[in-house]
Amino acid sequence: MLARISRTGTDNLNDLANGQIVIVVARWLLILSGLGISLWSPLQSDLDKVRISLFVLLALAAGNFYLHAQILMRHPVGPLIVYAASIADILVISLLTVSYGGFDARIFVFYYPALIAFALAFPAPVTYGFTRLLLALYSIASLVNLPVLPDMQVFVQRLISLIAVAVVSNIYLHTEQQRS
Amino acid sequence: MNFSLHGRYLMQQPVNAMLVYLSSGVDLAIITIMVAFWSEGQGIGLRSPFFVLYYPVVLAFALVFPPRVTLRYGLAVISVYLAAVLLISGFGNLADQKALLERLITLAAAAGLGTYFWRMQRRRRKTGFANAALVREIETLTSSVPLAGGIGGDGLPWA
Repeated sequence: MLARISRTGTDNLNDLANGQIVIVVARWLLILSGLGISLWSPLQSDLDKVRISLFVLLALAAGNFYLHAQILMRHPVGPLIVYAASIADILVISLLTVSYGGFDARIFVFYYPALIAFALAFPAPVTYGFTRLLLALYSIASLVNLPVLPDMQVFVQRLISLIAVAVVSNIYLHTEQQRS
Repeated sequence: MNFSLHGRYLMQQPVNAMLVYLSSGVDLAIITIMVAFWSEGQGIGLRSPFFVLYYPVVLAFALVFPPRVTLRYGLAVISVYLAAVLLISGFGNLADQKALLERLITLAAAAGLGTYFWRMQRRRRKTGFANAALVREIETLTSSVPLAGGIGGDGLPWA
């Protein structure tokens, strides 16, 4: 029994170590496209939002550079740091969602790559926890401007598609673990 | 259709790849029709909220099929969505163009991350098989040759 638990724990750590690069790649994508879109002809009235975006994206880039360097030097960091970095991703996307108008902010689509990355890297219980956190944060961010009924349907639709992405990723991870 | 595919999977008689390609094409067509014609109080084309349904479909395809096939499917999804939006909504204003670009980037990212993980898992499995074969070979060799107290009397099999 103990051996099985220990083996499962080791497998999870191995999966996390292997999946770290997926998270790092997804984060680079978020940072680069976020920077590009923020700096693409910003309106005079949006300069404050652009400032916030640049600040958080550069902070995220510094953290991601450290994580990427650790992976390249074959010193993958521990699970706690990986989890903390993923929480930072979700917080950054939620912060940008709030600053760009809550429910109307179109930046929420960046939740998808972030969610895919951690659902493919983390064990199921952690993925469920992170997905719940993401949904809660997005719900709070969307409530900045309270949606009316048609918007509420769209909001629920977005939540369902986010859950679907997490479930698909985690089912695949589970199937692969069973096969290997 | 999905009931049939699921039933075949549960009976351990999975359908061939062509049928899965076909069902993925049907998914793409249905979502695009929803984007193009069903407003749900928001609008159609770029304003349609249904584009979010592309993400799980693209991801699932990328996790199952080889990168070359995923590349084609990903390009098909992006092209079809782009064509639907441009035909219905046109280029729009700057905010619309940014929103469209964000959606296309994240759709490509979903396909890219899925296919990247598919390749990682395939490489891991290959390494696992190679390691298992090596272990079996070592076990076969060591079991056929006495390791101690054997031929030469000093405990070394080659003595």
